[in-house]
Amino acid sequence: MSRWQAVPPAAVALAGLLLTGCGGPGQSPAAAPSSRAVAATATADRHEPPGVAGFHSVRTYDQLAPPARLEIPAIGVSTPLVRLGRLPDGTIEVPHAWNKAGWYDQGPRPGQPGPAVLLGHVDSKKGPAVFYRLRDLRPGDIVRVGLTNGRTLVFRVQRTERYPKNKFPTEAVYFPTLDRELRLITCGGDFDYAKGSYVDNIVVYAILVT
Amino acid sequence: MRRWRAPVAASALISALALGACGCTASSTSSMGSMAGSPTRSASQPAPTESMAMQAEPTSPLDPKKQTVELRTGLEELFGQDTFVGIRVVRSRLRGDPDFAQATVDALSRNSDDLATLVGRVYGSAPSKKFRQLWESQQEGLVAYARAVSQHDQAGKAAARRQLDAFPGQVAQYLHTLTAGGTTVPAVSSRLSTHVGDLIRFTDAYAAGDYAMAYRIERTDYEREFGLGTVVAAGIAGGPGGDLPASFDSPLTRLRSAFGDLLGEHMQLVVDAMGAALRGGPEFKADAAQVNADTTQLAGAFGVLFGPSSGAKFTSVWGDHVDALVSYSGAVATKDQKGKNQALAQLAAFEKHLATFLSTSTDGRLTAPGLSEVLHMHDRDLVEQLDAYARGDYSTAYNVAYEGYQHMFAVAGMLSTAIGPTIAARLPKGGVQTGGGGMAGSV
Repeated sequence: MSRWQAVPPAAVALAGLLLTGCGGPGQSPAAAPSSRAVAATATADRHEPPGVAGFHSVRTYDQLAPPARLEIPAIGVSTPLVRLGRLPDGTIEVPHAWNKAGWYDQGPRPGQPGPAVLLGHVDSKKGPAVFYRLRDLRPGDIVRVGLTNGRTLVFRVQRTERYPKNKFPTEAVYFPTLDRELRLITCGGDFDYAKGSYVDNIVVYAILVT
Repeated sequence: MRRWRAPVAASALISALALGACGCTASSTSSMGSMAGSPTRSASQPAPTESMAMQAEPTSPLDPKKQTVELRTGLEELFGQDTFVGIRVVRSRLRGDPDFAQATVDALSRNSDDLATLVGRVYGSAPSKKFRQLWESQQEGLVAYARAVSQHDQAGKAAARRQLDAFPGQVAQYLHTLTAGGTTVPAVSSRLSTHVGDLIRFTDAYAAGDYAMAYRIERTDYEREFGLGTVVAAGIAGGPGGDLPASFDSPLTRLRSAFGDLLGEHMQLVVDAMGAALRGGPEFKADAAQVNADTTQLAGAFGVLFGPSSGAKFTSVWGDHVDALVSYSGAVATKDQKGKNQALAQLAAFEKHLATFLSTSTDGRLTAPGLSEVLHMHDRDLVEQLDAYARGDYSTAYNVAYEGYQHMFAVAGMLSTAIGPTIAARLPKGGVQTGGGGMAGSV
C-alpha cells in the first residue's frame, strides 16, 4: 500500500527552482555534495558524531520562588501575601486579616504556567479592606508580585469580570491553561445580610509581562 | 487533493483510548464535569482526538460554528507546520542537498495543500485554490531567497525579498475579504510580515553558521505561526461580529491547543536533531538546546496540571526518551547495531514508564497499555524517519515526519480529553467569601 501519492506540479516547479545552481554556503554549485553523500561520509568517517556523545536531555524541573508581596499602584495596594489552602467545603481559604491578600498555594505560583490565584477582602465589617478598589482596575494596569527570593514579576491586567457566586465559572477562573496568568479575586455586588456575604465575586485577569 | 491518509490503526487506537477515558467529544468543551460523566460517544459524532487533518475527507464541508475546535486546532497545526517545513527547504538549499531538497519542497507543498484544503472545507473550492495560489508566493520567495544567499547574489536576495514582502498584505487582504471582515488586515499582515522577517533572519543566521541564533528564531517563529492559526480560526469562526462559540477558547480547548503546540514542536525539533546527529552536523548542539527548551515547557505543563513532583517526574521520563533517540541517531551514524538495539530498548522502557505515569495522573482515564502503544507509534515514527533518511530515502523520511507531527496533535487531543475532567474534579469549588459588609452599598 502506498502511503503517498505523486508530487503535485507546483512542488515539481518549486523543486526545479530550488535545484537550479545548488550550492551550500560558500560552495560552488559543482562542489555541492548530495545529502546521500553527506550521510555516507558521516557513517564512514565518524565513530561518534560530534556533539552527540556529550548531549544529555534536560532533567531538572525548576520552580519559581513563592510569592511574598503584591503591589498594584493603580489602586494603591501594597500588601504581604499569606498562604491559603482549601476549606473542607472545597472553596479556597480566605485571608484572616482584612488588610492582607493571600496566595492559593495549591495552585500555580505566580509567573509559572497556569492561573495563580490571589485573594483579598473587599471590606471588613467596618470599612474598606485590601481589595476594596479591585473593581477599578482597567486593562493595561500593572500588577507586581514580589517573590521570596527578591525577584519581582510584572503582570498586566487584561479584563475584569463580575460573577454571581451561585454561578461562579470555576473552570474559567481556576482551570490550568498553560499561560502564565494571575487571577485577583474579591467580593462585589449586593450584600446579602441574611447570609452575611456579598452575592458576587470580582475576578481580575492578568497576564505575565516580565 | 490530499495525498495521504493517517494510519487507520493509529487513529482508531487514539480514539478508542480517549473514548475510554471519558466518552466525550472535543466540541463538548464547555463543561468538563459533564464530560467526565458521559459514558459514551454518539457514533455520528467525530472522534475527539484526531488531528484536524485526520478527521475528514478533503471535500467534507466544515461548519466553523459547529466544528470550531477542529477549525482552530487544524489551523494552528498547519500554520505551525509551515514554519518547520519552510525552514527545512532553506536548510537543504543552503547545504546544497538536491535529493533532500526535493523531499523538503514536497513537504512544504503538502502543507500548503492541506492549508488550502481546510480553507476549502469552509469556503469551497475556488477560495481554496485562490488561497493556495497566494500562499505559494511565500514558498517561491523563500526558495529564491535561500538560493540567492547560497550564491552570494545580492540582486537575487533583493528580488526575493520584494516577493516575500508583498505576500503578507496579499494574504491578509484575501482572508479579510473571505471572512467578511472576521480577520483584520493588520492582525494577519503584521504576523505574516514578522514571519517573513523570521525566515529571512533564519536563512542569514544559518548561512553564517550562527546555529544558536537560527534555531532560536525557528522556535520563535513556530510560536508565531501557531498563533496565526488561532487568529485566522477566530476570524473564520467569529465572522464580522466576532461572535465566537464558547468552545473556541474554553479552558479545555486552550489546554489541547497548548499540548498540540508543545508536542508538535517536540516532534519537529527532534526530527532535525536526529538528522543533525546522523550527519554529524554542526547545528546539532543548537537544535538540541531547543529540544531541551521544549522539554522544559512540557514539564512545566505537567507541573501546573499535577503538581511540581509530577513536573519533575515527567522531565526525567521524557529525558530518557530524548536521550534514547539521540543515541539511536549516533548508533545509526556509526553503524553500531548494539547501540541501536540498546536505544530501542530504552525507548520501549520509556513508553511503559510514561504510559504508567500518565495513566496514574489521569486517575486511570487513560489505560497504560493503550498509552504505551500510542507512545510507541511516536517513537516508531522518529526511528523510521531517521532510518529512511540514513539510507537516502528522503521522500519517506519527510512523509513519516510530516505525519508524525500530525500524530502529535491527535495525542494532544487524547491527553487533554482525559486530563480535562481529571483536573476539573480537583479544582476549588465555587467563589470565595471575601467581604465583611462594612462597605455594603458602595462595593
